[in-house]
Amino acid sequence: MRWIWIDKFIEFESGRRAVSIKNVTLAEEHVHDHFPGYPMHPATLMIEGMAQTGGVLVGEAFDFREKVVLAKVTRARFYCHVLPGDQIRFEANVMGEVRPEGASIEGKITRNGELVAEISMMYAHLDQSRAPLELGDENFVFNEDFIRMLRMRQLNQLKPSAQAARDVKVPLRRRIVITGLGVLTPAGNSASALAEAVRTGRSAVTAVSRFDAGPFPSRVAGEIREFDATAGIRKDQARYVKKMAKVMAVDIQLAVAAANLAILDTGLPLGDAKANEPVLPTIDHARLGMVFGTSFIPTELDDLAEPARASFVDGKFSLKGWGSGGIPKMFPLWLLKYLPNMHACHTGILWDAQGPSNSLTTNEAGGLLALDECARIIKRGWADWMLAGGAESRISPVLMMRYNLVGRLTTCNDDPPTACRPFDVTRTGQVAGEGAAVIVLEAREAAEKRGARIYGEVLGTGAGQTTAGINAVDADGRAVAVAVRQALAMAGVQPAALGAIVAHGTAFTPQDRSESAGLVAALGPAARKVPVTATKGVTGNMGAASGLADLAAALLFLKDGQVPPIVNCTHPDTEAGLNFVSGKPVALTSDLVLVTANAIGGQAAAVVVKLNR
Amino acid sequence: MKRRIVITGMGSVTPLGLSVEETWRNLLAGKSGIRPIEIFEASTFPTTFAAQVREFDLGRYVRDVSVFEKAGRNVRFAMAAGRMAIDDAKLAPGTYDPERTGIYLGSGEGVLDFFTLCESIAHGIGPDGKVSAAKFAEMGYTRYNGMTELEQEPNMPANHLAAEYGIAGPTFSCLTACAASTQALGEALDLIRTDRADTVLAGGTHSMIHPLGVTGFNLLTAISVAHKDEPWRASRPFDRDRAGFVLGEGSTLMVLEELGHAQARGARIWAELTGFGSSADAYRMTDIHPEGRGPSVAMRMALADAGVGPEQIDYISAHGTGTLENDKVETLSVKLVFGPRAYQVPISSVKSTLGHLIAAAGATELMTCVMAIRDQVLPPTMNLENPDPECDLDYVPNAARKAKVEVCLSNSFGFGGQNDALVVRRFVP
Repeated sequence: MRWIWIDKFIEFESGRRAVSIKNVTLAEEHVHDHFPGYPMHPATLMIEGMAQTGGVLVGEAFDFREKVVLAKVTRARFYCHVLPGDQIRFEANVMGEVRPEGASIEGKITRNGELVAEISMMYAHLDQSRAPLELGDENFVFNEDFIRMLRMRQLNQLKPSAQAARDVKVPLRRRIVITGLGVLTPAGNSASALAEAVRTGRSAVTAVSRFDAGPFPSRVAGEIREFDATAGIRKDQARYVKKMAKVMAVDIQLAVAAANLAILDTGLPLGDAKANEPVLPTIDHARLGMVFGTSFIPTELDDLAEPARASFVDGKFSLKGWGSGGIPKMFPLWLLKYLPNMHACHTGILWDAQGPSNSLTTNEAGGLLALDECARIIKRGWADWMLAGGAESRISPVLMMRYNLVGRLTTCNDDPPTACRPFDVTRTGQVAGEGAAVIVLEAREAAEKRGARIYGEVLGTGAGQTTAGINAVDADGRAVAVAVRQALAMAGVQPAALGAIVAHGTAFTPQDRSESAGLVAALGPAARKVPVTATKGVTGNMGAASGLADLAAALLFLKDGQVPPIVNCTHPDTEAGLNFVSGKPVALTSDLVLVTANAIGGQAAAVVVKLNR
Repeated sequence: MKRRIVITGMGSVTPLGLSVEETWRNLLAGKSGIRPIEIFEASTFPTTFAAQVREFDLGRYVRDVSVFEKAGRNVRFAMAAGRMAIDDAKLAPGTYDPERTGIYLGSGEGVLDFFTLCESIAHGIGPDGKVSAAKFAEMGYTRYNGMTELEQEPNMPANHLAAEYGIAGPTFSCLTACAASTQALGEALDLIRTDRADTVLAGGTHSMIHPLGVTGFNLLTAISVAHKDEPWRASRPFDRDRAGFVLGEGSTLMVLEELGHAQARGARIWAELTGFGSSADAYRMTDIHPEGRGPSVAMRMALADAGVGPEQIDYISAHGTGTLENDKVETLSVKLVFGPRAYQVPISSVKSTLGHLIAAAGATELMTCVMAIRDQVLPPTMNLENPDPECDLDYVPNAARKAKVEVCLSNSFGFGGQNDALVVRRFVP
C-alpha cells in the first residue's frame, strides 16, 4: 500500500485552487477491513485525500521549497458513505493567500455533484532554519509521485479546459545527480581508464597511425585504437549498431558507444528482448532524453574518391561533371553519415528515448553546454533521465589540415607523449584527439529511491561567449569568467570553497592564457589557492567530448582525495596567477569541483559539482 | 510566477525578401521564391532549382565587411537578420547588459571549398582506389585557406554576432536538422525563464544550396525533381502530387526578452512567446513515426507549457515540407492533438513559396505567425491543387485569408526524429 489517497489532479490554479479525483475500488485492501461485509472508504482517509490535494496546492505556491505539514483540521463533516465504484472529487480553495508561514484551505468532497463532506484545514511550513539537522535539505514531503501527478495533468489531457490548463509550474529546484558514466578516450574505453592515466601521468598521445600524416606539420595525435559499440547491450541493439555502422562516421559510433556504456553503468535493468520487453523496462521512455555536443563532421576522403574522379571533364574538375558523373557514384545515405544530430538519432532509437533531443554545435564547449541544457530540462520537469554527451574525432585529414592552417596544432613531433603541455611555459600548441563522453543525469530523489550509485551532484552550470572574433580569444578571459561566475552563483559556492578545478587547458598558448585570465577574474583571491589540474596531456584535444570526459574522469580521480598533477606541466606558467598542480598531487580540500571548457572565438562553459565520496 | 518572455525585435532575410515586411507581403501575395539555381552550376544535378536569397548586400548590415571575407552564406544572412532584429528592438549599446544577453541559433554549416576538396581528393587517389591522406594534403596545403575552413563550423554565425554586438552571455548553437531554429527559440525561452539571461538573440540561419547539400538531399530523394520548367510549382505541401521539398535559404532572428526588462526600457512588443514542446521519435533514421507519436507529444507539451487548450489555437504554421510522409503524418498528428477541432483550425505551409530553409525554417515560420497576429490574416499554402484524401484539413489553399488570430502554434520536425513546437500569442499586459 502507498500513502497516496488521490489519483490525479484535474484542475489546478497556482496558489488558489486545486481539484483532484479518487476512484474507490474493491481492489484496495483497506475497504475489506473497513468494514468486513460492508466495504466503504474511511472518512479519515478522505481527510488525508483532502490534506494531500490542499498540501500540493500550498506547496506548489512556493515551488515546493517549503515542507508543508497539516497543522489543524478546523472542521470536518461527512454527509454520506463512499463505496467501491464511486469516484470522489476533492476541491481545495486557498483562503486568502499562501503566506510565508503557511495557509488555510476550505475543501469539499463531492460524488457526481452530491456533497460527501466539507473539510477545512490549516497547513504550516516547517521552520527549516530552526531544525536543519533533524529535517535535512531534502523536501521529503513532496516526493516524485505528487510532482509527477501534477505534470501528468499537463501532458496527458487531450482537451484541457482553458481554465484547467493555466500555468502549472514544475518545481525549479529539483536536484540533479550523476548516475552513469560512459567514456571513450585515447587512454582507454572507460572513465576509470582516463582517470588512471591522469593519476599516473601516462600520456596516450602517439604518432598519427590512422593515415599517412607525412606532409602535415603536426603528426601526433591522441587516437582511439579500438572500441566496441556493441559491448554489453542486447542482441537486438547490437544488430542495429552493426547494421548502421556503415552510415555512422566515427564521431557518431563513438557517441553511441559512450551512451551505451553510460546507460549500462546506471544499473537500470535491461528488458528481455525475446519477451518483447522495452529496452529499459523500469523507466518511462517518454521521459528519457539527451543533448549531445557534436560538430560538423568532415567527409571521409574515400567516400568522395570515385565521385570526384568521375567529375573530371577534360582533366579538370567541373560541377557539370559532378552532376552527371559524380552524384550517381555517391552512396545514397551519404548525407546521414555525417549529420551532427545523428549521434542523438541513433542513440535515441537504440534506447527508445522519446524525450527532448538536441545536438549542440558549440565546438569544445559542446559537452558541458549539453550538460547545462540537460540539467535545465530535468529541472523544468520534462524528463527524469537525460544523457549529456559529447563526441568528436579530430583525427581526420580535413580537420588536421584546418587546425594546422590556423596554427593551433603543435609541430613538435619528436616525442609524442610530451607533445601536449597544458599551462607549461614550453607549451607549443594543441594535439588533435578524439573521444566521446556521456554522463547520465537524474533527479536526485528518483536516483535515491532506486538505490542508484551516485557519483556526484550537479550544483551549478554557466555559459559565456567570446566577443573577440571568430579566430581569437578574449585577452581578459571574459567568456570563461562569465561562465564560471554563473556556475558558482547557481551553486551558491564561494570560490574559496572549491576543492579543485579541472581546466580545459589545450596547451595552445593564447587559449591557455585567456582561460587562466578568466579563472583569475572569476575567482578573485581564491585563484591563487585552489589547485588546478588538466587532462589534455593524456588525450589531446577531444573537441566536443572534452569537458564531459574531464568531468567523468575527475569524479573518479578525485575520489581518493588527491588532485593529480597536470600531465606534462613541468614548468607551470607562473604569470597565470593560478595554482597549477605540477609534479606531484596535492590534497583535495573540499568536494566541490569546477570543470570548464571553451572554444576559440566561441563558447565557454562551466559546471560545479559536488563529489559523492 | 513564470517569467513572461516577449518578442521585441525581428529581422529576416529570405528568398521572398530582405526584410520581415517584404517577405510577409510576398507570402500573402502567393509569390514564389523558387527559380533555377544561380549560386553554382547545377544544370546537370537531378534538382536544378531552389529558393535563393537575391540581391543581397552584406555591407548594409555590418561595420566592416572585410571581417566576413571568408564567411558562408549562413553567416552573412545571420548578420543581416541580426542587425534588423536588434535595430527593430532598439537594443542600442548601453540599454542591455552584455553578460545577461545570450544567443541561441539553429544554424547550419558555412561554405565548403568543394573544388579544392574534390581536386585534392582526386589528386590523392592511389592505384587501389583509396585516397592517400599524404597526397591529399600535398595539394590541399597549397589550396586550402584556414579561415574558409574555420567558417564552415556551424557556431560561426553565433560567434560573428557575438563579436559584432559584444554579446558575452550564454550562447548556444544547435543543429537538429529542420527543427533546429524552433528548438533554438524554445531553449532560448528557457534560458530567460530560468533567469540565465534577460535577452536572447534567437532564431536560425542556413543555406544548403551548395553542391554537397543538393547532392545529399537528391541522394535521399527528399527534394523534388519534378516541375523543372515551372519550378514555382515544385513545392506542393499537402497536395496529392507532392514529390519532396524545395531547398531554400535565409535567416530569421528574434530578440526574446523578459517582459519586465522590455517594459523597463519601453520596448515595443510584437507578441508573447508562451509555449515550447520538444520530443524525439526514436523510431528510424530516415522515416518519421507513422502514427505521429513524436509530433503529437511536442504539440501537446507546447500547449500545456503555454497554458492553452486546442480550442484556443487560431492558426497552425505547419512544418509542411511537401514530402509524402511528412504531410500525411503531420495531418494525423494534428488530428491526434486537436480531435474533431482539427478540421476547424486553419493550418498552412509557407514552404510552398519560401522553400525549406532547413535550420532557419522554424524561426521564419514563427515570424509569419507573429505577422498573422498583427495583421489578422493567414498566409496561404500555394500549389494545393489536387487534395490528398489523407490530408483533409483546412490548409488555407492558394489565397491568403482574413481571420481572427490571437494564438498560433508553429511546428517543426527534423530529419532524425526531433520534433519541436512553439506557441506564440498576442501580447496582453
